[in-house]
Amino acid sequence: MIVGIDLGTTNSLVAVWKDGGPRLVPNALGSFLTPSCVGFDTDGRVLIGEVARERLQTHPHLTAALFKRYMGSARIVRLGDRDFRPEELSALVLRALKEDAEAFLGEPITEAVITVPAYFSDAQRKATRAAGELAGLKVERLLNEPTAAALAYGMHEGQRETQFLVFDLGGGTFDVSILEMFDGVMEVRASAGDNMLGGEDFATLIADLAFSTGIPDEARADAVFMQRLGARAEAAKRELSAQGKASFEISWQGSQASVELDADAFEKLAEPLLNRLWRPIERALRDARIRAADLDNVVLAGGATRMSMIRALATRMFGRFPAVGLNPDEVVALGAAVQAGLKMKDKALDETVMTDVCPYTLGTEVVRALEQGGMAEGYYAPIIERNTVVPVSRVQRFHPVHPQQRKIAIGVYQGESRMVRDNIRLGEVSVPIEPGPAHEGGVDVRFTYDVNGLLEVEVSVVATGEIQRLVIESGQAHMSDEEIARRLAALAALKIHPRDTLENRTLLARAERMYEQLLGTARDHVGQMIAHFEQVLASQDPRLIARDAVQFRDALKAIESDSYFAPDRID
Amino acid sequence: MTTPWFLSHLGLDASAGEREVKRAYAQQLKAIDQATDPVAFDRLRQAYEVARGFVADNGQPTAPTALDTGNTPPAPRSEPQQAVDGHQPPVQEASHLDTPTTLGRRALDRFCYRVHGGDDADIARELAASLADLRLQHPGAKAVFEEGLIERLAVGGMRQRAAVFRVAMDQLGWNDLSHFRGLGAGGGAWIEAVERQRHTLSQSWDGPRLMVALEAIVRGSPMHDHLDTWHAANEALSRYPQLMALYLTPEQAAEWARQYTRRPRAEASAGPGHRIGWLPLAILTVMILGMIIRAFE
Repeated sequence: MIVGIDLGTTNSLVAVWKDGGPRLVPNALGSFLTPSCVGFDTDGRVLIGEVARERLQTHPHLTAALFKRYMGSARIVRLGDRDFRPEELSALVLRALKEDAEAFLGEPITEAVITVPAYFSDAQRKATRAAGELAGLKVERLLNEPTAAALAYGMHEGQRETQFLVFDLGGGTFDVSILEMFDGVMEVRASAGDNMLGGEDFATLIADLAFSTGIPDEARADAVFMQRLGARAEAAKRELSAQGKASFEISWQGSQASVELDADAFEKLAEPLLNRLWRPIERALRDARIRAADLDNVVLAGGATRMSMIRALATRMFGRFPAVGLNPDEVVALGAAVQAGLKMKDKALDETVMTDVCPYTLGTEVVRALEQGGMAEGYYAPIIERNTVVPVSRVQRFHPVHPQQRKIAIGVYQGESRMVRDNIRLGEVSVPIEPGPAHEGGVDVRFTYDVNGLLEVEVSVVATGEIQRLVIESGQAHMSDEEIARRLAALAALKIHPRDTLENRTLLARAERMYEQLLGTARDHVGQMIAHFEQVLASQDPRLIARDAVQFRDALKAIESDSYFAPDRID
Repeated sequence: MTTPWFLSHLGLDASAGEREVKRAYAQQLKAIDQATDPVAFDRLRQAYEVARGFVADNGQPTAPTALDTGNTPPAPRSEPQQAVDGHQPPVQEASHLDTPTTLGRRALDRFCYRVHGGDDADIARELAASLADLRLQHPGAKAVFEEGLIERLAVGGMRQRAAVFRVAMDQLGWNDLSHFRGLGAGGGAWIEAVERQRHTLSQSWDGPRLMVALEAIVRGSPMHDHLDTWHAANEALSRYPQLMALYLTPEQAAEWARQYTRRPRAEASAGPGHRIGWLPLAILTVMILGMIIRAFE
């Protein structure tokens, strides 16, 4: 059985292909969305999902979130006295999802389709695959998120001939894909995106307002405060979409800030971010050679497209209302399950096939002869042009600059700029060559880009037939097989809270977070409830625990929704 | 008419239309495993892509315009609105709404009017504002604006062109290789040519001298003040036509050429040969020294 996993910046989901259709898998708390948060409790045991998200505010030094943004980099996240790579934190989330799927299906899971933003680079994709391996999952396929959304949408639409655009604004990344569907073929015509633009950036804008209305800048160093402010900004962002206005008050060491915002002011504030949405859209339309007016539909994916501002913008951009009927939070995971079904060659999908593209240009560095003689270095020579259908393999011949040259270095770059210094360097292959007349000793450079979006570079010397493959340089961003094995052992040694106690742990974490936020009688009340519930847990009587958990949850919900007890307000 | 290879690969004959091409491709694609048989997939893809282009062009003559990469600035296009984006329908349906062409051209006129004065930062702000406006008006309007802007830069239809060019490189993505592909004929090639010349000029040993010459012409300062500048400027104009076109309007260039041909005889005789390079001088010195030394032996 292969599962489909949407490993998101903010939330992750798992879905399976079952009984001829994609089905979402609920986690231990009964929810489809598992927050992509990992933390440790004071006993050194790992907490994943909702419980960790609650503890972000109470225990920021023991909890991590948004680590998808660092995938493929050498950045280390420190939790308590332990260091983690972003791959490892992602692996812990994947492991929790895997266990949920196993509980749902009643069979062990070893293979998965994992989604990545279409605009993820080679290093980010390799890191995602490593995360899968660390979680004990063989990654059958890395699937681009907008393509996954399109697959789910295509299943929904049936066999109609159509072309549409997927607008995928997630927690941390933005992707656009244009697709064409005919005769059961789902073809991605073009993808473009921005890896550093997502819903979290809109919340950050609101959070920053607190600093311009009374909170001193020193407060930025206070992790507990920043988490609290972030949560408040996130809530305000949602409220703005629902009610058209939002306000909150927050205090730090005696200084107070009150933030008040309506939809118009928020849109004005977010203008720089909104402007950044345009470039990928224009590029994708241009690459697909399709006019906005020719699109039959616009599909929204990613939780951030719930923002009313984004919906209005999409409507304005394309002169039509976006497609409704699919939940933007769930559509990517459903599409991953469809891909898993395709992989398992399920009968219901016999007539469906999908092709995807490489969303960026890949090339090498060359020296150019100038018009007046002389040489200029640093020019970019594309080998695979962006939005070429994958899998693809392209070869080009290059010649050494100097006749006495004994070595030729092939730099591997990703990007669209004319000069390599403005593109992303992926690595370098160096091959020895026979010195001699420059034109005889050329090299053939072959770039192969597979369906998973992973690149292989092969350089062969024409004269000798010697072949050299890409070695990613020591930028420690890449994990070797031995390192994966070592980290796998380290992760296996971590103690994880058993799935069946997760619900009660989450309740306690939420209560503790509220206790820190509340003041006065409400605080006392929550404190008493926590003490009582801990006593009940200690009794180890399952019936009693189950009954009290329900009461406890309802009581907490009542306090949270009661504006009189609204956090941070002094009675 | 024999069947082209791409149609026979798809099992079709020369009469096939778009519908048949898509259906044949879909059928063959389902029989191939992309992950394990990339070679067969690649061949099918190539056949399909060529075939689709072929059937789309069938019946309607297309004249692919050769990109202008020569040393002459591209000729002004008489009807820029036709060159937009290639897919622009020739006839817009009558509507009470403005067409993207009208919107784009109106915004361009306003932009050109506003950048008469002001420095780089003002121009950058104006351009950003114009682009933001266009986006809200119509998705196609920006392409019209961009096409028109390139044309005006190329033919000298606006002020502050060098500064506008710098700002547009940044904001319109003119530094982006494949961005050119989507631009109309000549536009991308012109930008590429300008950038190449700019690079060459900055690398060449007489770059600063040529730029001084150019500024002298732009200011219209009296030429006989710097004899050297006459020839340097002439060189610059012939060697870097695209780059120079950014700085000079056609009228300025014509006026300068007129002055150059009518320059006083004394200055004309002080042509480029007037300056003796350091290399012959050095050789001469070495030879004389050698003779002197030999004479002493």
